Amino acid sequence: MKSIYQILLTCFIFAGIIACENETKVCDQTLRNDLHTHFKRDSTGILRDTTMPKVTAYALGRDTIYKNQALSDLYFQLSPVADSSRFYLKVDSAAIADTITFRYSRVKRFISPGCGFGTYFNLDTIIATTHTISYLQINNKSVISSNDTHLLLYFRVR
Amino acid sequence: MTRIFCYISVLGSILFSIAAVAQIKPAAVKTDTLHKAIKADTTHKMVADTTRKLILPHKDSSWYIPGGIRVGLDLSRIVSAIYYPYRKEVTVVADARINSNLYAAFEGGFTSTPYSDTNYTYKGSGVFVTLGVDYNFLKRQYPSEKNMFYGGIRYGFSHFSYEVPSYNIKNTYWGDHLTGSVPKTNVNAHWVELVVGLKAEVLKNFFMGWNIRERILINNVKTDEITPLVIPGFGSGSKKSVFDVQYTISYVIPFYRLKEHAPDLEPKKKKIPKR
Repeated sequence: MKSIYQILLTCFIFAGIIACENETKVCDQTLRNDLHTHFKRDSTGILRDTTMPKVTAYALGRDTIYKNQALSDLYFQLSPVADSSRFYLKVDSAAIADTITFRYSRVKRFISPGCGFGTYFNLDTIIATTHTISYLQINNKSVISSNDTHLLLYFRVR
Repeated sequence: MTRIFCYISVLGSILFSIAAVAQIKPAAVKTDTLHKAIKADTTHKMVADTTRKLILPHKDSSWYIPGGIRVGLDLSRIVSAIYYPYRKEVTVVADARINSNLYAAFEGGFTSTPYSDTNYTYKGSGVFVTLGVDYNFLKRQYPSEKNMFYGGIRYGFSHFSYEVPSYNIKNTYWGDHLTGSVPKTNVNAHWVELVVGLKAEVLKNFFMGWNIRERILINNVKTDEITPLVIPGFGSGSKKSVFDVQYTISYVIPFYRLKEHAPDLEPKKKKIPKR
């Protein structure tokens, strides 16, 4: 009987600790749901993941996001107040730069008590120049979390 | 001759009296034996009495146990207000004895949820009730004992409203601030809760107790736009099931009694299987 009371007391304390979790103090999800882009190389039909040596990217008229960085993935922040965003992308110092235009719809969402509100995006169209980019593939139209890969960019082998 | 007859009669009477005394002595012994026999009979009587005691309850053995309505307050809400400054709640607990081990349980209260930070402000309020039963597992030491170790089940209902007067979405890269608001929404929530706890009579009719409980939400209260911060009486609005703790003080108003019958102690008859 004594052990039963000890178990009950332990449960009581444990439950008390759980019950005292303040959700408004912790933002367990990132508010930045950036568009996750992954680089691929198309070598005569053989597709491989690739790392581009000197990537420079920024939204037109805004600050640089990446400057001459070796990357295999990059994250574009879409504008929460406009229905389209245009980015400059140069993957190598010798390569000609491309521009990518994202058209999307925006949905306001309550993310969590700790994080507050955020904007989710639903991709509609992606238009890109093909100076260095061979072609692109939309992997996931719903931009909710940066953990998903939303866009695949394929580059030619030179 | 007459003298001889007198001597014989005197001797005879003496002998008779001795014989009589002799007869009395064994008689005394016999009386003792009788006493022993009586003692033996008393033992028999005791056995017979015990049997009677066992049999008696079948006729009319019953007694009264204290009933009444127990009304109290949940003190854990004071502690939770420290951890959750946005959760202001008052919970009244009550139960009424139905029979020796079963209690009808009721809880009711009010919750106010004012919250504000740099991202948004939130206002919510609502009322709740839970109805159910508690079963006392504690074996009573005496008929009037009121201490409880109980398990129970409840159905909970809450009607509440919430709104977000203002929110803003910041984007450091684009430098934009998106502001807006969510209008007032009325929602009903339904849930089931399982309870395990103790109640101890610390003073006459005055109880202190604690319990742990698991609440399981039955319906969905989330919308695409917003999730309520708090469901009154349930807890977090973003979870489907929550743990909670109560620490209660209560007072029983003993305005009725319940008649309890002695349990049936007759051994169960063995069923003889038919061949």
